[in-house]
Amino acid sequence: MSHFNLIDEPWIPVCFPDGSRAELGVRDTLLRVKDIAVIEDPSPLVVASLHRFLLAVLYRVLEGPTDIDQAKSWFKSGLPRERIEAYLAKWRDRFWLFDEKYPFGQIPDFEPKTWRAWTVLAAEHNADNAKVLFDHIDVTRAGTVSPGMAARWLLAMQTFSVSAGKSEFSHTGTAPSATAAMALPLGLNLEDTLLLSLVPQNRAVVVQDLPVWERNVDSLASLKAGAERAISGYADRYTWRTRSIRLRNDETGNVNVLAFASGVENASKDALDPMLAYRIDKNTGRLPIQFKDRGLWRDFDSLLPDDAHLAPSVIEHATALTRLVRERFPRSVMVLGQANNKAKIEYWRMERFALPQALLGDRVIRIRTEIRQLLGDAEDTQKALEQACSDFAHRLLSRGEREIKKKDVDGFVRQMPAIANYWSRLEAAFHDTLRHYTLERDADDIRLDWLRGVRAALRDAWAQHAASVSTGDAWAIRALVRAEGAIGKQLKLLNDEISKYETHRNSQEQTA
Amino acid sequence: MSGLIAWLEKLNESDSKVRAILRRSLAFDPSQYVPAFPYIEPFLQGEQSRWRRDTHYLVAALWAAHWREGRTGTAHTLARACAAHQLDSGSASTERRFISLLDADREQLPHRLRQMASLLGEQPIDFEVLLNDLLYWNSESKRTQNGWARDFYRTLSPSTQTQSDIATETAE
Repeated sequence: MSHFNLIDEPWIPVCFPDGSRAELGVRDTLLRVKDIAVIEDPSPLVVASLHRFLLAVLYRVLEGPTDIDQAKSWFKSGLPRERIEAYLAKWRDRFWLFDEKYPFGQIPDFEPKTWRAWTVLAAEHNADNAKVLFDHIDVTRAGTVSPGMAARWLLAMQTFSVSAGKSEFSHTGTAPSATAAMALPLGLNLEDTLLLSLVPQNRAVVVQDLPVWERNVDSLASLKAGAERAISGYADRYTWRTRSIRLRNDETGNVNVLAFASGVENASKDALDPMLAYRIDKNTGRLPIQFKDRGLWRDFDSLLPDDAHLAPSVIEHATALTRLVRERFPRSVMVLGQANNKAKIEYWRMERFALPQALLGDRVIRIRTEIRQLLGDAEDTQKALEQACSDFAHRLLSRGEREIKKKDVDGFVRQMPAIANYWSRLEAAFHDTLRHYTLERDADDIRLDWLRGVRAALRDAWAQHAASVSTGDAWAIRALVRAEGAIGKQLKLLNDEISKYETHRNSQEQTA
Repeated sequence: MSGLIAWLEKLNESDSKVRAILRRSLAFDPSQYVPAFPYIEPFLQGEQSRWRRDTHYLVAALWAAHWREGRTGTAHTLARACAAHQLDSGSASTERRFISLLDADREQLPHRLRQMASLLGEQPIDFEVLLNDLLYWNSESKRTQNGWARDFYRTLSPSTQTQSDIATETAE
């Protein structure tokens, strides 16, 4: 018996402008899209995969956009209700979460050796790669999960699973873009948010870009043999069958056990994802930007458009759409995803940045370079701070004569709060800088303010360190005083640079 | 500045016994040598703090012991004088003594100061500044010790920029 249709049943968590919340089905979400503020979920992975899922639906509803003009036209007129209704009516029988022939996103005839309970899976995976996918599951008593929750989990799983060894079928692969940072420009409402990211694909691609529910279900035989194919388009990518899954429900309708194994392997690793930023690696070529230990803000320039087109397509597209409709320019961009370190998932992240409004002006390409320069200023100064800390550590540990191993010095520096303080002060200053990057703002003004901020961060971080040390014994004081040289030198460099801007500004004011 | 040294210099002009008596007081704990009282007490009118009293007596005694006939040249801070001594002698032992001096607590300070002052016999020292610095010896932030360290190392290697320079660089 078919049960829980994703088109009608509530399962997509949304937030309205007045702050109230609700769960809606696909149909209500898309028809009320102008009235919804955002999609909201405690897990950034769910938020990202829900957006990608809805975009896949829209690509099929619109059978486009196939070029920027079409995109602009829909941006102007809004999403066409009739086409949404028509599409959802046509494909309704592919959206039952529980169904004999076409259970959504699942393999209907998958009869596993063992059905796994949620609690078992969560426990198993807490130690490894799929940990983050279970962190947000709230397993209620009796270990069951609501169908809505299971549906959200399923989407997140297909979007973010990483390779985890052998399975009942074949070797488990990594979802396309699973470990990359995904950018999502935020519009005034959910409609704008979705349209801003609906990057055009040319007609030839659109015609065969089928999402998982429009395809024939992969056969067990092919899955066991290690099915593999190339991504055919964005809708396909956003609904990729990374894993073979089958959900089972109990008498209450909740999901109590499930089965999963390997899915379809991505044979087109070079295909580009419109939400990702890329960089060029001299050995391996184009690689997606990922979350690292340090905040993404330090690589923020990689999100901004330039001639090389390595920035996320969604940001280029959003800028193109709103160039003449400035009030709909995305005020901020969310960047979401998980971070892994040597195939071990370490954490998930969501960071949010103001998008420089200056992107709408003529200076577009230069903004990325300007921001890179600001970040470079910060990095140069950090090197001086690091030098001073290292010097301090060395002198303190050696007490004037002992031989000290480099790793002891490095270890000491790592537990000094100075560098962390420096970066955390600058991060706040950076977000401020982005907010002030308006159309009218002068690049020199921005750099002057930034350099002052860098100088203040250096001075404050060192002063805080000095204060904690100067009450110590004479060796600590000695180490501190001797290490300060690097700080003084860097401050002088910064002061010289700042003076240049200040004199220039003064002379400009005088001639004005 | 307290003016103690100026006061003593003036006394010294008229009374030849001042320096001898103050020098002898070094053998005793500060402010415990009675013959020195007439020279210092008038200056300390009403001062109650033990540390302040002891410090005045100590510095007066050091000044007396350090005094040389016809010495010329600008009087430097103790720290600078130590650094100059190190540079002259080429020996690193001065630095070690200096560090040890910085680490001194109330009890250890008089003895270590005496030793240091006698080591620096050839150099003119600014005792007025020394007095002021010593009055703050016990401050929680160790401002005197930090200041002396900066003074010492800046003199030792002039290319070393220190916190006070940093403070100047950032004054907007």
